[in-house]
Amino acid sequence: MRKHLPTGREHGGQDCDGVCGVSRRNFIRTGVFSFMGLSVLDLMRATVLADGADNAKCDAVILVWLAGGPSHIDTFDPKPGQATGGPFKPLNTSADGIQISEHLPVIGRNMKHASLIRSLTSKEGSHERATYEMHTGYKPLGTIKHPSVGSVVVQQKTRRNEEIPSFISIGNRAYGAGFLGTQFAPFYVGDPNNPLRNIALTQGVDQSRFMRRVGLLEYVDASFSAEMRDEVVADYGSYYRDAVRMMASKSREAFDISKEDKIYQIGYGENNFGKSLLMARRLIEAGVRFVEVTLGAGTTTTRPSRPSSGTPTPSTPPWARSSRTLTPAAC
Amino acid sequence: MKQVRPEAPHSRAWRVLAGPVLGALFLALALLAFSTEPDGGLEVKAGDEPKYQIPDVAGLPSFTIKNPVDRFVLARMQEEKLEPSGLCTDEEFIRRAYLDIAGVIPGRTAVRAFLQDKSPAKRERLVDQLLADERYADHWTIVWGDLLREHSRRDNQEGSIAGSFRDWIRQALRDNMPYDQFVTELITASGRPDQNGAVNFFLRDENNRVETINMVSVAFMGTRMQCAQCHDHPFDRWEQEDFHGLMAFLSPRTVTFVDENATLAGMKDARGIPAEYRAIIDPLIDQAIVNLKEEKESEGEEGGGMMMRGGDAQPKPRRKGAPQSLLRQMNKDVEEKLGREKADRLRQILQRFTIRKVVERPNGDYRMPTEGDGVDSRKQGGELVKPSFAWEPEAGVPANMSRRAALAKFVTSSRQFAQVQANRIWGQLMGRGLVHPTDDFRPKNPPSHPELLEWLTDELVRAKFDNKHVIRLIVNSSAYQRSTKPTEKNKDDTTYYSHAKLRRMTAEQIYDSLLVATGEKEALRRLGMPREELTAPGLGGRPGQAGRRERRDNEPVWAVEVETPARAGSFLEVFNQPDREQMTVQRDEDGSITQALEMLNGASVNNRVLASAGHLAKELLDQKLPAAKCVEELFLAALSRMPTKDEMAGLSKIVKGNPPPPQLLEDLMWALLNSREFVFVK
Repeated sequence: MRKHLPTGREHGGQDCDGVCGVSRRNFIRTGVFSFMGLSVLDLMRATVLADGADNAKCDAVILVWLAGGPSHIDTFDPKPGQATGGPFKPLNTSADGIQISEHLPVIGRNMKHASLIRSLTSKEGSHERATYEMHTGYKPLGTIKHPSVGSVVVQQKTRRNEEIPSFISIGNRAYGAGFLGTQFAPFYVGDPNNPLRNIALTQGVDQSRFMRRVGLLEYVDASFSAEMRDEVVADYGSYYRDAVRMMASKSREAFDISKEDKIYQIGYGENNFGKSLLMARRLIEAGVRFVEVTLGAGTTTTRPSRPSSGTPTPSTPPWARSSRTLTPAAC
Repeated sequence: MKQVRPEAPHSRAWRVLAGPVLGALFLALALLAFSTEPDGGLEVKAGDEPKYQIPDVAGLPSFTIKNPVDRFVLARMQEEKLEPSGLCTDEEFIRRAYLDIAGVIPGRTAVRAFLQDKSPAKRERLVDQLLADERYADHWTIVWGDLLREHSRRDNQEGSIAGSFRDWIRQALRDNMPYDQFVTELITASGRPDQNGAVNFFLRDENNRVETINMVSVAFMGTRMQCAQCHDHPFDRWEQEDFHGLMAFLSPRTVTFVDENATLAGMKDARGIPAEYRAIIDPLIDQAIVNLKEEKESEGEEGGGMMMRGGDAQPKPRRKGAPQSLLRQMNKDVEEKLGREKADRLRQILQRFTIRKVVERPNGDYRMPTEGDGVDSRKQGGELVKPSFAWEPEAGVPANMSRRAALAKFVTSSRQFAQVQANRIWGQLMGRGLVHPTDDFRPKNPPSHPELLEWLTDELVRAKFDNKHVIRLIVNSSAYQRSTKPTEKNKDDTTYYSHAKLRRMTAEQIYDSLLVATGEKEALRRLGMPREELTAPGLGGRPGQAGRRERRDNEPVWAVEVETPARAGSFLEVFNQPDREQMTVQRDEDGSITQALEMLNGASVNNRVLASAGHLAKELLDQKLPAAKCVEELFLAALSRMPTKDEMAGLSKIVKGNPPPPQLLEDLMWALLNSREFVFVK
């Protein structure tokens, strides 16, 4: 039942009330997700406080970023009975006194395991600038590129698995490592159906021939790398090392969601977003520290998406579907 | 270290006059100043004092001073107690100049000819050749595409015509259109995209004035003013009214219309629409064409048409011939007969055939927005705002002039407009702007070399906004031609150009250079060029093909002809081609594991290194060249240099035979293309 939890670690499950498979501690330790409007750094601080004496440590994070996402009044802060309230009915949740939108019943049942922050405000009006601020903790400046939260995490924490990258972004490109340097930048998966392009040896090149090629490469690269002691040159080389290590690694099966039971594939949703979330869970299990999954048009630096006239409105809005897939299939 | 020592003032004039070329130039400059006449555009005029003196520097070896650029740069280095690195080698220079001007590495023949050329003026001559080449336009089209957020994908086009923006930019660069004219044509563009690709400047953002004003202020004026849309700028002088004064230049809002005739004709001719739809929609389209004709005749209307979105003027009553009425009817009929899903699908297909045009309309009032915004404004929501050019707010706007024409005039007559372009060219070629970043002109971000910026700006203005003139000045300077190798004393310098900045090729440069290095015959045949003539002049592609082709991974086309933005996971996207949603002034040079995998195992490299027909390795084998000769040719092709003695000695132990085994040549080529020397520009 708990196989699908986003962790490979032991957990007590004493909090589980039988309705779901999520224990509070594990939810906090293993995954924090955010809708637009919460800085992840704040969230992490909040979760540490929430766990207080338990001194909970966050070993790994899944950040779910709904770009240009749903409004708080349609989701987690319906403000019932207020002039500023949302159009949907409030729903009582498993957390005393907490009501959320009627469209999130599954999350509602798990609400007592979640930390919900409703106090965040901002004067920022531009999506692009706000996205930057939420990812980095800083307002954008012309002269400096701040690292995103995922890069900070992997810079601060040791790697749990040397064979695959520690920070992975699925969907749209996450913000990078900024001034921390590209070794802390995310590994990017654009298409969850084909997450590792070019991981296999090309046709006609077997192991031994590949080794001969790499030997030649080392040889012809030597004079340049000796002369150019630049950091960027060294970094570029480190990507080659990581790439070759990944080619040889068994851990890369974590990217392969077909290895998962069909029931979980269906439960997470057989769409790109559901697949991305399932992959995120597998990656965390394999030792990845930080996975950012993005849903939404364009990239994290896109301008606010405009509904183009005539585009059919999906019967279920994407964020509502995502809330289904976010919650464990067995619930 | 060589001392850079100022000389006594009296010797300055003498030295200046002594320079055969520089003399006339400097004397002229000393008498010149500039003014911004309201009608005459930006000029450098006689009269006032210049804003700078060309510094005199002495005691340095002659190679360090090739033109006036160097005097400014060296004087500044002297202040900072820095010494210049040596000049780059010929091998480094030809590669750097090719990539910076033409966006691609030189072919083997070009390298060999350049290295053998003993003329002292050969670098200048190469620069002239490259500037005259069509590849110049191909490369700088990509630079401008980043700035203007050009995209060519049909599904992004929003009623435009795929590739028409890029075609226009590329043609303007081929014609070397003066930069002030380039910007004027963008801001004042009218017509349909197939008639005038510059209208995409407006169609790009569905005539969203905020986006357009951002483009004007960032790309043309080097000013980041976005935040003044909603409140006063927190750390610059801009107030909310400055932004809305600019917005008023684009009033009335609705300058884009659906071109009804063209849209209906497009729908009628559209290919790829399944027959089951055709049976239903064709009669409707025919009827709509008839309706439209009758309606136009009864209205006696020229040009106009249906409004796309709410604007400042009243929308016209709904008409039967309008494509949107037609779309509604089609949707209804198809839904009745084929179901909702198919109706939705058809609507998506047909909306791509909506062709819009930009129409000049009479000046209209602009009012302060009433919703939410306006926190810092002295004006109330709904209050009238007059057009006002933020950089010269006192200047009045002629009442009889079209607002867009007035805006273009203000922009192109502004001194800052010319500074921004001079600085942009400098930054593009040197890896760092004098004002850096190049889109951030403000008092608290001053230029590193203020006098040089003024001088370059004058050069641009006096050359009547000929970009190539400024490129030539920069590339012919020692400052540009310095080695990337730092000295012990200048290794920490990143600001004063004491050594050249090591750069990684852009996505497009790598993509195109792979074609050149491996001799991809198909690509070169399409250009009408035998491979060995891949040298200036005449190296470029054909006009009118920009981005219309779907890119397949191994299809040999120049990057400038690939659709933008590149699809997720494609070569260009993996190597950081921007998404073209935001303006990009400097490419991200970050590497990634994905890039490494693309080079190690991807088709772009692996298919092209094969010793098969049309590829370099095959040609070398056909010529039955001995192993050592093959190694030389592969080095020339990939790295634009001969192997060193050591490399030759080492490789001779591995690459043997007469001719050597094909697989070995493939493997060596693969190794050279994967080496860091290939992607980094020394």
